[in-house]
Amino acid sequence: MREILKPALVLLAICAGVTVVLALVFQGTKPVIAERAAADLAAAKSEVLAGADAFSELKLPEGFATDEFLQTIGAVYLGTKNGLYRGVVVRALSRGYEAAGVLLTIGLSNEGVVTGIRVGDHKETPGLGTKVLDKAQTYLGQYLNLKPATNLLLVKNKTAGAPSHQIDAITGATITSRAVWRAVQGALEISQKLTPEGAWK
Amino acid sequence: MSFQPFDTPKAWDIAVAGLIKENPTLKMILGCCPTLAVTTAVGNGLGMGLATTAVLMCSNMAISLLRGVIPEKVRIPSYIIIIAGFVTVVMYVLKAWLPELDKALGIYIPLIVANCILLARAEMFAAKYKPFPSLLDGLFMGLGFTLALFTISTVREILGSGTWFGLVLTKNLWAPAVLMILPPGGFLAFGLVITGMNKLTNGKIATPMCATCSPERCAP
Repeated sequence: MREILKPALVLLAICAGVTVVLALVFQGTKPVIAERAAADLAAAKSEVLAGADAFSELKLPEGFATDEFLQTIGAVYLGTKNGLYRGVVVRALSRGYEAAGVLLTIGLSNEGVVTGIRVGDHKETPGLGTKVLDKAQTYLGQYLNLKPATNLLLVKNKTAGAPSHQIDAITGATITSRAVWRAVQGALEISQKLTPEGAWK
Repeated sequence: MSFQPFDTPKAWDIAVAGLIKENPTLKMILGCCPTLAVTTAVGNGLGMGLATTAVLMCSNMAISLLRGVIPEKVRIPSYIIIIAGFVTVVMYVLKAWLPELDKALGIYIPLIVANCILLARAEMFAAKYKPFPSLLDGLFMGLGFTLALFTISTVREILGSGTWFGLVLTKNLWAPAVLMILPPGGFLAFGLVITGMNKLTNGKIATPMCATCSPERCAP
């Protein structure tokens, strides 16, 4: 009996101890992490839509549906400067290679031009998926200053001189390439649903 | 049960064992999953290696301190819980107070739980020796892992992307072999580096009488 009881009790004690430590760490870091997330959101908004200095959250219209690739359109923010509508910031969680998704903040001017993309938290494969999300690489730059007349198209090995709405996917990171592409396409669709004054059509 | 008192190995032996003789990746072939997954670029290999080293040092210390308390029958679950606890704490602390480091290493941290080097060092070293040698063992085993990842990722990045630490090396000389940064290239580079390591160290795999073991325990 003792031989069964003692290991069980010690294991229980270790589990309880680790649980208490984790609970304390979680409680202690929670407000700091929340503060950082809020600061990060504010920084992301002004980075992707530099032309605006005030942002207000815009409620999505009733029955608004995202497709299967986009897990959520997290929030849409209207950007204004001196009270004038300058563009929207769309925060989207897009399905990548990992279930956690890729958090993207996308800025679009009031004319529907992509003004910036900022990559937030994600768990994509280092070296493959991260190539897509790295600002120093070529992939994200393809979207900047883009105002496509038609839907964006993700292609493999884009030929030189192909129209700019064709986005060249990254080898070895097809899924992550698609995650960014879907989110930007979703953001473009949202901006097209807005009037030049920044109201839903 | 109480553990047999072994002579504590010297710091020098611990260092040689961790870096070369019993290199966890290249000699013991432990922790293959993160090795194959993150060695696509040198920066990634180095980040993963250093993050693992930090957690390995902490977990070795904790397990060594608790070595008289943990009963043999439940040692494996105990080690796993302690390691997973450390990884989670490191994850939250980085997120809260070291956001820059979190951006650089955050994606590797959850992978550490699944790294069997930690469990192996807990079982083979920390459970038998005092906290300070265990800390050293964690440091050098971690550095051995880092060294292996660094070498493998150097091979893969230069051949697969034509860059090293993101610096363009082979521009226009030849087209990079993309295969090397894809999964098959991981196995190829891993095999090549193991071969090189065995060649350099006279082709012997770690003998049963290894530096950190006693004759009674390890004799075949």
